[in-house]
Amino acid sequence: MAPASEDALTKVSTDAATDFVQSFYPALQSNRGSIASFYNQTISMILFNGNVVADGKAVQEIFVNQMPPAHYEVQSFDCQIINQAYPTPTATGLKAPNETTLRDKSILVLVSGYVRFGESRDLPQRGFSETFVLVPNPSADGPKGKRKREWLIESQTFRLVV
Amino acid sequence: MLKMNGFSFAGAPLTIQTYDPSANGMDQTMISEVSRNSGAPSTADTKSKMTAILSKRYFQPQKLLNLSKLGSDPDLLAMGIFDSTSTESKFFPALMKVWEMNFDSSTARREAVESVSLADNQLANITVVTTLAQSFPDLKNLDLSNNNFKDSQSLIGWRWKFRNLEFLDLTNSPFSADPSFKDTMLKWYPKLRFLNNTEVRTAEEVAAQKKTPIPVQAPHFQDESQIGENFIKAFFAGYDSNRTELLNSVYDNNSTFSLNVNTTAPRAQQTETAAWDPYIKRSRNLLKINHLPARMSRSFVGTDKIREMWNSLPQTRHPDIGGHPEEWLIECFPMPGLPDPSGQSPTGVGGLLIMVHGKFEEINGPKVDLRSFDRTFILGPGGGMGGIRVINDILCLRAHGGHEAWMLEQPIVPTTQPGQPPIQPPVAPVGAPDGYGMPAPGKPDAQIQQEQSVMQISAKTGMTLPYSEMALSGNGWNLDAALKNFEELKAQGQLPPDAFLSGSV
Repeated sequence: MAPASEDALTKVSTDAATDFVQSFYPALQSNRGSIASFYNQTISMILFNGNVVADGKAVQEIFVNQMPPAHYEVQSFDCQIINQAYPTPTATGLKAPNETTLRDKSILVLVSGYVRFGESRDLPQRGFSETFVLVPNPSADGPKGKRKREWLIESQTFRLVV
Repeated sequence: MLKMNGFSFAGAPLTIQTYDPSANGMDQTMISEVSRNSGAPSTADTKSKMTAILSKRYFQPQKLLNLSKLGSDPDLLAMGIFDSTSTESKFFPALMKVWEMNFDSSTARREAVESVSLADNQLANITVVTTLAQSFPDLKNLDLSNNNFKDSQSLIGWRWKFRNLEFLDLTNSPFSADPSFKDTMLKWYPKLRFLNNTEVRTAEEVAAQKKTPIPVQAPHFQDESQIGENFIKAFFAGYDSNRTELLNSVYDNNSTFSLNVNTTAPRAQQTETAAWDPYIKRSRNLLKINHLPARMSRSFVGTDKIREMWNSLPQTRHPDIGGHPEEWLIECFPMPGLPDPSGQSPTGVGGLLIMVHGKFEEINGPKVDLRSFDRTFILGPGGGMGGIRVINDILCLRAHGGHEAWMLEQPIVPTTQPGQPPIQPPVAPVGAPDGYGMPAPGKPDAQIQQEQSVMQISAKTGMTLPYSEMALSGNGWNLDAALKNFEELKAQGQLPPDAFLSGSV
């Protein structure tokens, strides 16, 4: 594959980050049963305030069973490409760099915003910072007729900072 | 005014911000309208009279501004403030502006007052005094007793103000008898602890609101051969002292840097955020920067572009990591699948993902602003110092948010003694010149305290300010000793008649 143009790289990465941010935080708020579907099979690390969480299923479990209603507000976010030739796993092993497409990227996303735990508007706004590494979804199809998530969480670090 | 920048005020370095001429124009208009309507000779005269009134009503040791019984204040009556409704409605906003003009730093202004009394003012609603919330957003104690507030609607303008209010007194207002009174006030003010001098929330209950359903744990720091630790120590020291050298040591032609500004982030109490001008044109907040060319031009790849970018940013000073570890939160873990600069490994190479949260001082000449940041790095093997390279460096800037959020939970100590109302207006002093006992640009904190002590002695003894000052300075500025000395001298008949204010003996 010929080296991708800077336009194409910027477009694919910023679109990926935007789609992710605009679907993930609403899911934490009002579609917690879908949380696991945002995560990759293999995970480097998931941290919430320093607590290690094993995988996407465990994150969903916590949000469904333990978390009060929460309101998330993303106030600023940005992204960068980490690896322009990310070795996406396939059925026959890893893709070689010469087989990669424009989508075989890993992307770093940094989000800044606030969260309010509980339903009342009077509760304090807690500032958070969250770092994600997103990787391409290696599976071909989405879950039963639903649109496939193009990008999945490979690592996640959430911290309350205010 | 600008030439005074750099002076020390109230123990803190004084910073003077560019004065908005339009706002200034508005203040002058407001004050001059009051002077015109009240028949006073000039705006300057009105301003100096208002400063004198404020100085008599400000009690520095208690951080109290006592604005009770304004309607019977002889100085205000003499100014003819209450002779017409138009003057009356403009008077309070003008008074607030005059108060604000006495401070050059917003931090000093915010810290000067914790308590305000507006008791005994026949207020049926807050319309005329609503600007109090702009001048004192961080107020802890507010006395509104002996007014005519009928219901919550008469206070509605302050529904979302005073977010740090702990003590509220609405005794002898009809609203206090309303069955919904207590619940409404508890709902409006999440930190409210005392309502009408009764405890309505414990310190523990206030603290419990801050609790998060996700317990705060110590940082997860999983390093490899101290690479992350050494990098972070070198990075922030280098970023503060020599950015070019730092770039040359660990960045290469594929390193990426970008920054984004969260202009609306929650902030720590008692802080005001400096303007974001030096950064905003470079900010790559993807919520706001939607066009592809802007997204491209705000991402900096390679040592040369990053150097140019960094050298255009203000100088910084980060706290020493070893000396102030509590001000930092740093997490780190290994990361696979990173680009291999040698091209040897088709499956990518391993490195580190490092997340840093902290604060820094931004230095613009004599002006120093405090800000918070979140900065994430990805390090991989490379040709830089220690065999590493920075692959990604992504920075978020936001208002100073403190470091309490990541402190491990500790037992709570109540700060206010239960049942002790914090607002206890001292006796008003008499015969003080304009600005006496009041903060003013360049006036040291110690002097304000001394003037306040002099006024207390004067109020208790009926002596003039010069004699009160002599009594204090002759007794090492000890109030009790000065009073004892006064009683002795008075008993011995050693105080001349001119030691006393006229009419007090």
